[in-house]
Amino acid sequence: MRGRNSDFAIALSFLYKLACGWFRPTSSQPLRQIIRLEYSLIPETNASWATPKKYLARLFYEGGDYALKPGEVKPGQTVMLDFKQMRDEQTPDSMGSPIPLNVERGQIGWSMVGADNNTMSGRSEQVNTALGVRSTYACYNCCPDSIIESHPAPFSLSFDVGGQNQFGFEATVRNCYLSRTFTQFVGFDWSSSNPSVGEISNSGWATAMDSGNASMTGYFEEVIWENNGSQCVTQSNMTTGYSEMEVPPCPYPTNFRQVGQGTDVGNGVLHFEYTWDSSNENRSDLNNCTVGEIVTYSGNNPFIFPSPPFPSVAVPNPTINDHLATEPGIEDNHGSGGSFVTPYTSSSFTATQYYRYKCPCRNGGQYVNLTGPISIIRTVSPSAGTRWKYTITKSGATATINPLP
Amino acid sequence: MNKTITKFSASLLIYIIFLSGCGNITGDTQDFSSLGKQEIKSNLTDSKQNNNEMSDGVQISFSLVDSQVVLHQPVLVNFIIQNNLSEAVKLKLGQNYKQGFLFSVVTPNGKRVQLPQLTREGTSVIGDVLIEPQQTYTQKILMNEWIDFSSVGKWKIEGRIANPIKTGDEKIIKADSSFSVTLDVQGENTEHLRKVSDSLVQRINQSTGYKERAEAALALSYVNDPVAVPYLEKVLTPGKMVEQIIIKGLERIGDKSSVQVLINIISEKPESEIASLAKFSLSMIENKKSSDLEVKQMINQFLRSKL
Repeated sequence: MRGRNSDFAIALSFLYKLACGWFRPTSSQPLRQIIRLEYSLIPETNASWATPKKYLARLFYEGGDYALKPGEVKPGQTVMLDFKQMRDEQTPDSMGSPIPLNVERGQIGWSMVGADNNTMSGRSEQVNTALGVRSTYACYNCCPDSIIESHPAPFSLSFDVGGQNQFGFEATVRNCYLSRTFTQFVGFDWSSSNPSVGEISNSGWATAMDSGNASMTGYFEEVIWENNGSQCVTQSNMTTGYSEMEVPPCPYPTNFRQVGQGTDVGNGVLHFEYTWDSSNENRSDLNNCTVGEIVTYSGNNPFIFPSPPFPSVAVPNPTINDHLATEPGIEDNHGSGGSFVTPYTSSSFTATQYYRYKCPCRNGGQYVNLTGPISIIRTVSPSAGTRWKYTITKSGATATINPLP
Repeated sequence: MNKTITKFSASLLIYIIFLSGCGNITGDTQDFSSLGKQEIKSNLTDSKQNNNEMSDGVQISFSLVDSQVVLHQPVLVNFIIQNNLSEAVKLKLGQNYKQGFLFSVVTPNGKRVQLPQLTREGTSVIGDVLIEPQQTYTQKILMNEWIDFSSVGKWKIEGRIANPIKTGDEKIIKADSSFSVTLDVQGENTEHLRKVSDSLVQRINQSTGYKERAEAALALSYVNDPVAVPYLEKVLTPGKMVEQIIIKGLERIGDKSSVQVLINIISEKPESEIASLAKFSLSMIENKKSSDLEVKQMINQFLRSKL
């Protein structure tokens, strides 16, 4: 028994080779106690029964219903569904909605999906752990559920470049007692009218590639089951669904470039300036984007400059800086790190730099490189006589301290 | 310039977190709403006291957003340039629009301290300001980036801009931008700091642009008190894009609770860039002389377990 208020457990068992049905608790059986669904299959001599079966389970309560995605049960397997736990943990159903926390009673429905008839039965089990009393109840089912009245869902969807979403179908699942509920299905053979805007997999999983619009087309097979008096008969109906996908404009920094040459501004500092454009030529639209750098060193984090001869400094590895992308430009100053340490020896290390941007609406909000890798090489080497010099080079520019003090 | 560059180098070890804190240009004077002044009486300094009326029509003013704060509350100064001329004027405010300020303080015990210019290694916003005729440039300056107002009492803040204001044809506009204001730092008030922090979190959550989010995050990161840790943690979500700023705030606090948040960041996404930043901050806290021994042991134990 699970749960905090586990006075009762109400379970449904699905026994292979028996028909399934509805469990209808009376109003005196509150849902606030644990409710479990158990699915068990008894192996059948006919090998076809040994294949896994899909099932649907749902809960109807006053003011709504809670429909789980189709599950699968294998021969000999018992599946238990604890609706109380789902309510307490606010587990979303196939439509993304949880059971409201104030729901204390309702009706549990279950059924098997597919053409097989008379293959399962349902068993409810009620347990009062306080009194140590248990009772069970099983019911037969008639024909399998019909899946009808399908339509694409969502009809339209808007999401940013790099984002992913599922297109599919919503359909009415009608059981043999004519009770109805809605459930989501993925459909098949999905295709995009404009793959450069939105790509989509056969199963309807779409990825936004660039701003614009695309129509998504998918197919779904409705199935209708009816009892002709002696047996269940079925017919199917193929439907086509059309959904619209919109990827809103997402301006991003582009044409990142160095302005002028790198310059030695003294004291061993190498200075650069950079600018960029907006992909839609309106820089103010980049107000949610950043432009910046990542610099990595071959070594630990923090990276400590090899000292001596370099200054004994520790820097984050990687070093990351970001700036508002609406700015007209950035400068980049590469210094020596401080005071050099004697005794001087020949030494060198390289940092690797990328300039990059980040926009929430692009690449899933992850960084996108603008340029790189760029090597930043710092060297201490012999100079004239017994003296030593410091050199830093990047992108063909150099700054020096010669001689080192 | 060389003097400035020397400071660049010196700042490398410290690794000051940046903020692209550029200002706004508007046709009207901005309405400055102060941070969390619900309980602390707001006594806005009359900016006219610090105005320097330019003969040629450019007005510069500095004023405290709140002249009365509690210990560890961010201290903000409004910086305004009003161009009443018929031509545009420009000003170089330097790296991240911060390098071009020269500040000094007189502490409550009467000691005068000249604050170094904010300079840094690596990338920064260039910080050139252009003010069209009849336009006003406004900027909020977070004074805690220059100094920690760590003691209770009256602080005098003085300063000026480092570079001249010029016209488009490089003509220097005579201007005395110097100012002096008095800040009253009152004793600890945890409840007030909570309100200030909460207000900043709301600004971060409600803002639609990176600039406002980053400004609010930077101010929150300077609520240098463990009371801010839960608020800093609240905005540590990738969509906010302010993780670096927040991690530096946690590093500044450097107590057990902030260290635990940094450890959690690393544990949750050990290979991420944000985890690298958190690891660097843990190392800085571990190597800080003032850090609590228990905190150092906590960090050491965690970092060694990751080896």
